[in-house]
Amino acid sequence: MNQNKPKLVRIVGIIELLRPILGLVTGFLGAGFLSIFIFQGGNLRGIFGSSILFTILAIVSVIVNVIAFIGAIAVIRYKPIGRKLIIFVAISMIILNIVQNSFYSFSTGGLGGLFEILWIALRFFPIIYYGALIYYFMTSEVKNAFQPN
Amino acid sequence: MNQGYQPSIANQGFQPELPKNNRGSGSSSLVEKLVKGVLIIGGIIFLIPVVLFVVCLVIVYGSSIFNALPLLDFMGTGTILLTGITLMNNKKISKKYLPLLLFAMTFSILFLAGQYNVQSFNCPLHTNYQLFMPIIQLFASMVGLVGFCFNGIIPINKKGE
Repeated sequence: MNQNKPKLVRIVGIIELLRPILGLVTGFLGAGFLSIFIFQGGNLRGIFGSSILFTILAIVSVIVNVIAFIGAIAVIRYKPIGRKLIIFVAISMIILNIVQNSFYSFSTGGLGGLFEILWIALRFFPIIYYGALIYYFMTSEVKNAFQPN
Repeated sequence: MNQGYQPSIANQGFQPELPKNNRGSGSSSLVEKLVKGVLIIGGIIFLIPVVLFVVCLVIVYGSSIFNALPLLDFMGTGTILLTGITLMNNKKISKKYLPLLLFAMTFSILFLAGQYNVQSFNCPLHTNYQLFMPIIQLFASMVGLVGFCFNGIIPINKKGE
């Protein structure tokens, strides 16, 4: 039975379980794990009245994080609902990441050249990551693993 | 004899299907490899902030645990006693989860009062741990949680309920 269940699903599930925990504990906006490097101002400031955009994004990200947490547990246990929840979370994360990338500065504080290119590439990496996640969770390999027995 | 050979004939019937199922087109398998690669690399990158966060927590707690021990001792004992007394007196409120309630209350009150340096958590690289003074308050609420964990050792009198 377990031979039909790919290990990568469980690894992704564990990562998706850790990410919302870290996001909720530390108060990141949660649009991709790279936000730890990006939001140096601290997004909780948004909740405490800095700006409406921050507040909306923070609330949305908290909701998405909670859904991600539930979905990740379901994925680790190979429950069919987990796959759908994780796909939903991944789509939300892509949207959130696009929104955040369009609102935040790409400045690296004077560091240029290759570092800057790497930095921008890293900023957009969550989109690629979650795109890959959606693709992988749509494949028949994963779909079969989540068939209710 | 020929009848014994039947299964292999049946197998021949199935044979064209077997490679078809296992094959998959070349481009799609490449994409799948790429996708799996991205997922694994993403997972590895994700572990960097986790490790950073854990290291920062170890620094913070490790440096302040000895200052907070007496308080921890006092509050933890107090929580356990409170649980025991509540259990003995058979109050109507949920007794088992009282320490958790205390923890949540203390934590939320201190959180709302701004006693936790939440900003420092946001970017561990930019945290000045010299300014991380309200750690005592953090421990004061954490001991409620410790009390909740100790809760298991207090036997619940089912007859009383």
